[in-house]
Amino acid sequence: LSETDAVERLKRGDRAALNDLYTTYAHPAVRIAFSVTGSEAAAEDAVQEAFIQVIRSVSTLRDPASFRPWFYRIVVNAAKRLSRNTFRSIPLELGRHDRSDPSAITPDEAVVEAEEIKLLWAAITELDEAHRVPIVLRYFIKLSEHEIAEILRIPAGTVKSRLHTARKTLHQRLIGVQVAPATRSSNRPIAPTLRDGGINK
Amino acid sequence: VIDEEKIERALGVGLDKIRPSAGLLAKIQGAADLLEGSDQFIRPSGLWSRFRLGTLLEFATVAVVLVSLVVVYGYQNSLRQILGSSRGSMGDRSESVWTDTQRWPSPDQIASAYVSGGGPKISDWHLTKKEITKVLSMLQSAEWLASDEAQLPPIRGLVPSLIIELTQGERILIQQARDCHTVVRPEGKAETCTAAEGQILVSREGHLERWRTPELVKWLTEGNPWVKEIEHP
Repeated sequence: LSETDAVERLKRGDRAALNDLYTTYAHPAVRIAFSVTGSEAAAEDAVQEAFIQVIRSVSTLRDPASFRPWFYRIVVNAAKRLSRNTFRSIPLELGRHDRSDPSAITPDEAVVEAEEIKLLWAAITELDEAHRVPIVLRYFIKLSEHEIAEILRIPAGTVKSRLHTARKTLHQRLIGVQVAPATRSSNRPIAPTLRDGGINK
Repeated sequence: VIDEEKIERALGVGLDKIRPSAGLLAKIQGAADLLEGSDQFIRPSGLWSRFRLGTLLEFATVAVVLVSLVVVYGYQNSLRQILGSSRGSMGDRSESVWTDTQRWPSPDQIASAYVSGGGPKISDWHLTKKEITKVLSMLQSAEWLASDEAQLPPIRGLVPSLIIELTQGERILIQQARDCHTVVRPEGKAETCTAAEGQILVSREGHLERWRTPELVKWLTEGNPWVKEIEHP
């Protein structure tokens, strides 16, 4: 409700509403943009561009409740435009992995699981954009398949298919099987890869 | 099938450090400041939304307005014929300025138009998008513009770092690279700009154009005392 209210206020020209929307959306937007560009700088540029686009176009948004998919679509499109020229590899320092319930597993199991999570992250970064972005939107931003379809302007069935393919690819990567279809062929990875040993650093 | 919870946690680990920088909000607010004075800023949506409803009444309103415009236009043309003049005093700026090629400004005149107090003002020309296209073409032929800039791309939402108000409603925005935080205002305040190279955006009626800047930045710094500093790394 507060987001809807902020959008309504912004449509009336209330500048403070822009700050409210920034507070809510800047973090997820930068991460979505990063999942497209693979560059923090380009991701931030994309988000900046997206917010400016919001200023220009929010008056055309008829349903304030649909702001979220509308805004994320702008972010993704801006990131796609910027990623053509700025896509570059950046090293990511993986954060410490904590379970929500540490007592549920033994220390040894925790070590194995943490390594597995790192391998999985590396595999996610090696997915191509068409599969990586839906994965981020579904499992990090927690959007529905319908919302993802709206953002990416593809059929919901395609979203479902891409998510399935991505999960399958990640699974096979995790168990050491090389799979071609959903992996990046021309773009460089956005994080240390399985092959270059970067994940073990 | 892979455990979806693991995917969530892997993304949480990998994306944890990807966060907006401290200055991002300031950049966006700066852009909003610049847009606020232009017609690109948020417009109240009431009227537009009502038009979108497409009711018969609104349709009729639009029709009446269009018919009125046609009538007024026809009246003006008739009046011109009566007066024996090919140029009316209202509404035919394209005739008075642009269709007469001999009256087209030269690239030098265009340049001087941007210098405060020198030459004709852009506002005197009442440039439309089509006319700006011609100006860009002229500037390109005079090698003022790189060939790939002589188009009319819609402005992209980057923060202009420098804004110069020529007259009311007329602006030149100089857009630097992304790390530039400078906002130079007509009253003469300049902050440090760290960009290596810039672009100029000419704004009128929502159309902003990108220009290569070496020459224009030069006269900006030399010919406008209120531009205090453009610093390059």
